Amino acid sequence: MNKQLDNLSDEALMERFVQTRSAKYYEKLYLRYFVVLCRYVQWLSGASELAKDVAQTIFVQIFAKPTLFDPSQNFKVWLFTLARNRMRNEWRNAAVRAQHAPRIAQHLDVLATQTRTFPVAQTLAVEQAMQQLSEPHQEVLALKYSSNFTIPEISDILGCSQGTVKSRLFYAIQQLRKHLNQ
Amino acid sequence: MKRANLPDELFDLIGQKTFEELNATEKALVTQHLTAAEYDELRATISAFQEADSSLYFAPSKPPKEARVPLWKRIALYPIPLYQVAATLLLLLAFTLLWPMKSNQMDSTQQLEVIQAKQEGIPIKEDAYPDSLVFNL
Repeated sequence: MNKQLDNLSDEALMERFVQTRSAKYYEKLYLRYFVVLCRYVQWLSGASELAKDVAQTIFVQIFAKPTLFDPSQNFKVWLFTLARNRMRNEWRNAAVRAQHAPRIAQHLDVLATQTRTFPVAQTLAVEQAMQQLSEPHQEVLALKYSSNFTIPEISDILGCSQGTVKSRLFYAIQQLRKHLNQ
Repeated sequence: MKRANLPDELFDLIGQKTFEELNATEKALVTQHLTAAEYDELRATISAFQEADSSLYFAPSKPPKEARVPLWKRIALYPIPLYQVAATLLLLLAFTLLWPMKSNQMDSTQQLEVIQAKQEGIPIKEDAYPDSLVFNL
């Protein structure tokens, strides 16, 4: 049964969830994308708690109103567009920033205590370098190399041309390298 | 060279391979736009980013509680077409309109019996009259 679900596309899972309201379809999508979505928001905000809050809120919203999804659309693109809008709205709220800002430090402490294959200092360096990039540069980098979207998909999420995406991506990598070398 | 015109594949390759790991066709594609050194610098940056990304820790969590829907709620939330709701309401309306007419008929028969009983009156017989109310004048 699980294998059958594994073989279903995101869109097919959503379609069946809308028809049957059976939680198994929803859970599959949740397991596919919860952590990926958290990482994306984390790269944009630098706040791990906010990342989890946003991802959780988006999934609850999808559960409550699955019919909002248009089956002709790409589910992953739709999901990340929802998360992006949600995150931007929340992040504009000064109170939310204040609430989450101290948690960035907590997150860094957590990173420092975890056993990792990748050196902690380098992870922190990348996180700090990312926080110094402009929002458009953070977005394209995270969408391309964390969430593994294609250029046309990123163009759909950001609502700009593919040329703009590629140009931004190129300069974003250069900027990241510059900040990492500082 | 406009960066907007770079091929999509170039960005995919930067995310996957060093210049050394590229095959001849891929090398040819890359060298049309970048030198090997430039490519490797970009690759090293993305490699560091990807490693940091994979070490971002988010505890595997269960889906929201709302996802585990009890049976009664699933039945309650089951989508019913509007025409079915309308038909049910119409049936209920028709039933409630017809029912009182029938029950009114029964009521009027009973009322008639009561009226008739009143008109006939209750015969007072000497043995039926209460003794305490009998006065000897």
